[in-house]
Amino acid sequence: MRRRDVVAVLAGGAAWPRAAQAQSRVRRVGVLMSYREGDSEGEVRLAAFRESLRAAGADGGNAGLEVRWMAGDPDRATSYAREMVALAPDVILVNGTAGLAALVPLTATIPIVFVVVTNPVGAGFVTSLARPGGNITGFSTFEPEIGGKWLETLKAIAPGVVRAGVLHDPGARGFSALWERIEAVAPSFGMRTVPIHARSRPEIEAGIEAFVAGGPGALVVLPTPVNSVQRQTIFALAERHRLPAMYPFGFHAREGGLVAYGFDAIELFRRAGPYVMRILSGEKPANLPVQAPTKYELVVNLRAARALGLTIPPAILARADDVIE
Amino acid sequence: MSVVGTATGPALPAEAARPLPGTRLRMPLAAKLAAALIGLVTLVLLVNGAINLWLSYQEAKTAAVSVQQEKAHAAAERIGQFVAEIENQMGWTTRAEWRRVPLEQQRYDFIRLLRQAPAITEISYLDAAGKEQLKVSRLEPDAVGSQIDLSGEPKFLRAIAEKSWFGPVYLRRGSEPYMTIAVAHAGRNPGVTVAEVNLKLIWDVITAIRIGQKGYAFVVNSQGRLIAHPDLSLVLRDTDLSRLPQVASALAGVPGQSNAAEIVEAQDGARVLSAHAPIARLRWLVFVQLPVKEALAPVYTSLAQTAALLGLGLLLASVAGTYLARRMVVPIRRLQDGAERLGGGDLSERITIRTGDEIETLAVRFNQMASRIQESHETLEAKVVERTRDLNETLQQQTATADVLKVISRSAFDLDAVFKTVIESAAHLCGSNRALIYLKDGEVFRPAAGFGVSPEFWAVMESNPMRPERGTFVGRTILERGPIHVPDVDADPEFTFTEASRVGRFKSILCVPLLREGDPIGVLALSRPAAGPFTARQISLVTTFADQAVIAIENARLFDEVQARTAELSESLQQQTATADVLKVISRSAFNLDVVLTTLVESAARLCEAEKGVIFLRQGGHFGLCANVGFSAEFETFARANPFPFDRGSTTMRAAASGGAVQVVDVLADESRSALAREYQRLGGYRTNLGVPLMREGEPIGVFTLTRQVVRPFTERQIELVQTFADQAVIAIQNARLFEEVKERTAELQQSLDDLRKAQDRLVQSEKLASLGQLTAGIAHEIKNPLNFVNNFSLLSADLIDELRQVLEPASLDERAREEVDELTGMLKGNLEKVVQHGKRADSIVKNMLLHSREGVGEHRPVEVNAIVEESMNLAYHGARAEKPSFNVTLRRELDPATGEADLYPQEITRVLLNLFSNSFYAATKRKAELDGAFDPTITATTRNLGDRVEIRVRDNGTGIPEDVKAKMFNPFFTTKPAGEGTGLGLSLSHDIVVKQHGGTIEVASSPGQFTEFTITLPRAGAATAAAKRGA
Repeated sequence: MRRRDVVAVLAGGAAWPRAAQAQSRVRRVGVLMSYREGDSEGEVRLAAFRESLRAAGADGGNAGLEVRWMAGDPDRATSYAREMVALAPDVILVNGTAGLAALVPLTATIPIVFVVVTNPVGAGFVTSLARPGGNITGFSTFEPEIGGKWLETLKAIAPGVVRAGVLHDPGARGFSALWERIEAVAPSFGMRTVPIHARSRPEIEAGIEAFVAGGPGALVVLPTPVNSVQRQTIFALAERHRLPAMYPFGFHAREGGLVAYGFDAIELFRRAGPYVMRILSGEKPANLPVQAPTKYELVVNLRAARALGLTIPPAILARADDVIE
Repeated sequence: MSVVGTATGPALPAEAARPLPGTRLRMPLAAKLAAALIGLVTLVLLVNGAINLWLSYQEAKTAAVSVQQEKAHAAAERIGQFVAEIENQMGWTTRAEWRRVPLEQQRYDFIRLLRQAPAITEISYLDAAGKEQLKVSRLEPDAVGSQIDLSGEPKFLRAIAEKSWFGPVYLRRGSEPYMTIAVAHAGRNPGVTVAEVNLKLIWDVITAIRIGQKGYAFVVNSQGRLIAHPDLSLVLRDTDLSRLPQVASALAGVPGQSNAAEIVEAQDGARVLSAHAPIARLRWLVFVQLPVKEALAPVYTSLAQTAALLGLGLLLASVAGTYLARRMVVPIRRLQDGAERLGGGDLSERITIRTGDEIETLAVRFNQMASRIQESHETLEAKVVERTRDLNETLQQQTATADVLKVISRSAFDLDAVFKTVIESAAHLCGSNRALIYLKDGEVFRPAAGFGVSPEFWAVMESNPMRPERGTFVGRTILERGPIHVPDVDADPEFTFTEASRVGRFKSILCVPLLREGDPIGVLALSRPAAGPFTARQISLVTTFADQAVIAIENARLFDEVQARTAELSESLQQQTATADVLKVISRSAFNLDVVLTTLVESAARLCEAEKGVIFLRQGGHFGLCANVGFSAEFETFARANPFPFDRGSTTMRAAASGGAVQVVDVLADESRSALAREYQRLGGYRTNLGVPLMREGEPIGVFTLTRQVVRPFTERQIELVQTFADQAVIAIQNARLFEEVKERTAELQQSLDDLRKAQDRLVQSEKLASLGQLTAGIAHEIKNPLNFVNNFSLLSADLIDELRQVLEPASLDERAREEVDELTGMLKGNLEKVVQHGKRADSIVKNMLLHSREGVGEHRPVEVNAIVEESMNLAYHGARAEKPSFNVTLRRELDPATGEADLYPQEITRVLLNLFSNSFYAATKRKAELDGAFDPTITATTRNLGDRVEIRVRDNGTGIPEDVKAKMFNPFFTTKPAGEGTGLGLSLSHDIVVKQHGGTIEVASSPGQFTEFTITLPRAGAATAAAKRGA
C-alpha cells in the first residue's frame, strides 16, 4: 500500500466520527396534556413519560419536549393543537381524546402517539388496533364494556341506588360508546341513568345540583378530560350531597373519590416512551399496533365511604387492589 | 540495475537497437530469492493459521450452539412454568368439593384467583352439564347462573377428556393474544374452570430471559404465529413467522425434539445463531436467537490473533529474505556492472571481487577478456581515426561548398551575405584566421568584405588600394590572373607591402583572383598567422569559391539593373496613373474650375512630395491666388488681398515672366526677393518652391506653384509632372470659359425657340379663324337674299297698312267696329316695324360676316399711327355719346411722338380700334353701373415705337375679363353681352385684321375687377409684307 493511501485512510477515519455526530440532531417531541399545568396527576404522568423516554435511550439532549396543558378545555385543545402542528415537531404525544380529536384534522404527516384515549377504532382515529394505518398510534384505554363493570361496582357498594347520574360530555369523541353501554346495561342492575352534561365547572356544578334536585341517586364519572381536571369539584359536590360516586381512574379514589375502577394510566405513559423513540428512529406509526391496557385496578376509599355512611361489601374489598383508609 | 535496450533511439547504430540477450528488464535475482523465502514462510504460516482458525471456529460455534440450546431449553421451561403457574392457580377451584361451596364463596375464590393471576382476564365455572354457572371478568359485569350451555365447546369437552386443556391462541379485537385454559374438576361428574389468559403477560417473562448482550427469545405456536416477543408490537400485529426458515424447519421437525442451533437470518435480516426448544404441552416453540457476531466473538478474536501472527511472520520473512538476497546479489551486481561498462566500451575497467567462489573466477575471466579486446581495439581505433579525419575533411568541404552555393542561390542579390559566406567558409576550410575579398574599383582594387579582420588592418587595407604589381600578393594575383600561394611570407623576396604583414601579422597567404571572362574583377585572399602551405585541395576549393563569388557579383549586378529599371517604370506608372486620375476628375467636374484646380494642386503636391501648393491666375496686371492646398487660412486671405504684381520679385512671377519652370532651392537664401514675396514666405513658412507658368497662346495666364517646408529640390521628373499638370490647368481654364459661352448661347437659342413657338400658336389661331370666316361668308350669302325679301316686304306691308287705314276712313262703320279696326291696324303696324328692326339687325350680322371673308379691302398705305388712334378714339366717343347722351368717360392719350408711320389698311385698323374702344366703353360703363357712380371710368390709349414695329395699347379700368372668357374671346360669335347687344364678331374680326391682314399680333392682359388691356403690335411694313406673303 502506498504511503498516501495510508494517509487517506487515516484522514477518513478522523473525519468519520464528525459525520456520525452530525446525524444526531436534536429531535423535538410535542406533548399535549389534558390536565391543567401543576395538576399532580398530570405531572406524574409527564414524569413517567420522560422517564420512559430516557430508559428507551433518549438522553436529555436529543429529545426536547414541547409541553402544552389543555386543562380539559376544548377551546384550548383546538388552539394548542394548531400551535403544535405549526411547531412541526418530530412526534406529538397527546394525552386524552379531546386533544387527539383536535389534532387529527390538522395533520396527516406528523406522527402522533396518543395516550389514554377511549375506543380509538370506534371514534375513527385508527383503522384497527393491530394496524392503525395512518400517522397515529398509541395506547387506548377503556373498552365500552367496562361501563357495566362500573354500574356493577356502584350497585354493589350502594345497593339502594336506582338512579345514576352520568357525568358526560356528549361533544367529546370516543366517550359515547361508554355512555351507550352504561345506558344499555343499567336496567339489568335495576337502575336508570340520567345524563349530566359536564363540559366545564359551572356545568358540572349546575348538572349535579339539578340531578340532586331530581331525587336521590349516585354518580358515574366518565373519563373525560374535564372530569379529571375538575375532580375536586366533583368530590366536594358528591360529599355535600351524599352521593355515592364511581370514578374511572385509581387516583380519583386515592384523592377522595369513593371508588374507582380502571387501568393504570401511568403505565401507559411508561410504555409511550419506547413507542416515541421507535418513531423517532424511523418506524411508521401505521405499523405500530395500538396497545390496550393490561392492568386494571379497583381502588376503594373507606374514608369517603364512611362519610357517606356506606359499608363496603367484602366482595369489593376482596377485589380491591388498593383500599384507602 | 540498468535498463539497457528499453530506450534506443533511431539515431543509434543498429547493433545497439537490438536488445542484448539477458539484459532485458526482468525479475531481479534478489527479488526472486526474497520472494521464494517469503512465500515459503507465508505458506506455512497461512496453512497453520487457517487450520487453527477452522478448529477454533468450529469449537466456538459448537460451544455457542450448545449454550444457545441450553438457553432455549431454559426459556421453554420458563414459559412452560408461566402457563403451569396459571394452571396451578386455577387448582384452587378444581377441587372435588368446590362445586358444593356456596356461590358467594365461589365468587370470592374467582376474585382471589384474578388477583393472584394477573394474566387471567376472565374466569368462569361450567358445571358438569357444561352450563355456565359463574363468570367473573375484569372487564365485564360478573355473571352469576347465566346457564349458558357451553357443553359442545372444546373447552368443556377437551377439558373433561384430558383433564386440562390449552386452547389455541386467539386474538381479541384483532390485536390482543389470548388463550383459553380449561381445567376439569376432580371427582365424578366434574365441572370445568375456564380461564381466558391474556398472553401479553408472557412479555414480562420473555423480556426477563437474557440471551447474551443482544440476543432475545420469542415464542410461536404450532402454526408459526408469534405469541410472545420482546417487541410487543410484533405480537399485537399477529405476526406469522412460519416462513422464517428456522421456524419452518422447527415446525417440520418432530415435535418434542429440539434441533441443534443453526445460523440463520432473523426476521429483521440480521444473521443470528438460532436455537429452539418446544413446550410440549402447549405445542409451542421457544426460539432463542443471538446475533452471530456476538455468538462468534471469540472466533473473531482468534482470527485477529492469527492474522496478527501471520503479519508478523511475513514481516520477519521479508526482512530476512531481503537481507539474504542482498548479501548474495551484491557481487553478482558488481560483476554485471563491470560487464556493462566493458560492453559500454570502457575497456580499462577491471572487476575486483574477493568472494573466493565461482563468481570471483568469472570476474577474473572477464578481466582477461577485456584486456584482449582492449589491445585489438586500440590498433583498430588508430586506423579509424585516420580514415574518419580524411572523410570528415572531404565532407566538411563538400558541405561548405554546398552551403556556399545554397547561400548564393538563396541570397543571390545580397552580395554582402554571399561574400560573408564565401570568405567565412573559405577561411574555415583552409584553417585561416583571416580572409578578405577585394573588388575592382576603377584601376585599383579595394577590400569589399573581410573575415577576422581587425579595424587597424582594415584601415591599412582601405588606405592602400591594390594595383597590379608584384610587390603585393593581391597585385601579383591580378597580374598573374591565377592563384598566388606563399607558404612563408617572410621568405618571399618580391613582397614589399610590409606594412600589411606587420599590422596583419600573417606568415602564409593564398590569393585567388575573381575572373570574369578572363579579366580579374577581384581577389579572394586568405592568410594564416603561421607559415605553412595550403593544400592543393584547399587551393582548388578557394578557386571554386572565387568562381562562385564572381557569379554572385554578376547576378547582383544584373539584379540591380533590373531593379533600377523596375523602379523607374513603377515611378512613371504611378505618375501616369495619378495623371489619369486627375484627368478623370477634371473631365468629371470640367465646369467647376475651383474643383479642377484644387484637384490638380492636390495631386501634384502629393506626387511631388510637396506639402503645399497654389495656383495663381492672372487678374489684369496681377497674379492672384486661386486654388490653395495646404496653406493656412491666414495665408490665403493675405494672398487674395495682395496679388503679385508683374515683377521678378518672386519665384511665381519669375516663372510667369520666363514662361518656363523656375525652382528656388532655398527661398531664404534668395536675396532678390521682393518684400511681398518675403511676406508670403513668412506666412507660408516654405523653404523650397517651384513655379510653373500656365501658358495660353504664349501668354502666361497663371502660375502653378509647389512648396516644401524643408530645403529639398524638386527632381527633373517632378518638374515635368508639374508642367503636365499646369497644361491640364490651362485646358481646364479654357474649358470653363468655353462652357460659359456655350451656356449663354444655349440660353439665346432657348429664347428664339420660345418666340417661334408663340408665333406658331398664333398661326394656328389665325388659320382656325380664317376657315370659320369662309364658312360664315358662305352662309351669309345664302341668308342675305331671303333677308332682303323679309325686310322689303315688311316695309311695304307697313305702308300698305297706312293705305288700308285711309281706305277705311270714309267707310261707314259703327263706333265699335272702327275702334277695333284701328287697334288691329295699329298692332299690325307695330309688328311689322319690329320685323323691320330685327331684319335690319340680321342684315348687319350678315354684313359683318361677309366682312370676315373679305380680304384686302381697300388700299394699304403708310399711315400716321398716332393720328389714326386719335381719330378712332374720338369717333368712338362721339358715337357712344350719340347713342347714350349720359355717357361720360375720361380719355387719356399717351402717344409716343416717335411712333411715326406704318403701312396699314386704315379703314380696317380703324374698325379694330373702334371695336376695342367700344368694348372698353361698355366694360367701364358696366363697372360704373355696378359701383353705382362712385367710379371714374378711364380709357387710356398708348402708342410706342418698337423700331420695325409699332405698338398700340388700349386700356380700361372696367370689369376685366375672366380667365375662361379670355381663351374663347377671339372665337367668332362669342360674346358676353346680353342677347341682341353684340354680334360676337367684333374681336374675331379684329384678330383677323391685325394678324392676317397686317401680320401683327393682338394680345390681351386683364385682371377681373381691375383692368383690361389690349396690345396690338403692327409691323411697320405689315400690310405690305402680309400681302406679299399671301401673294407668294
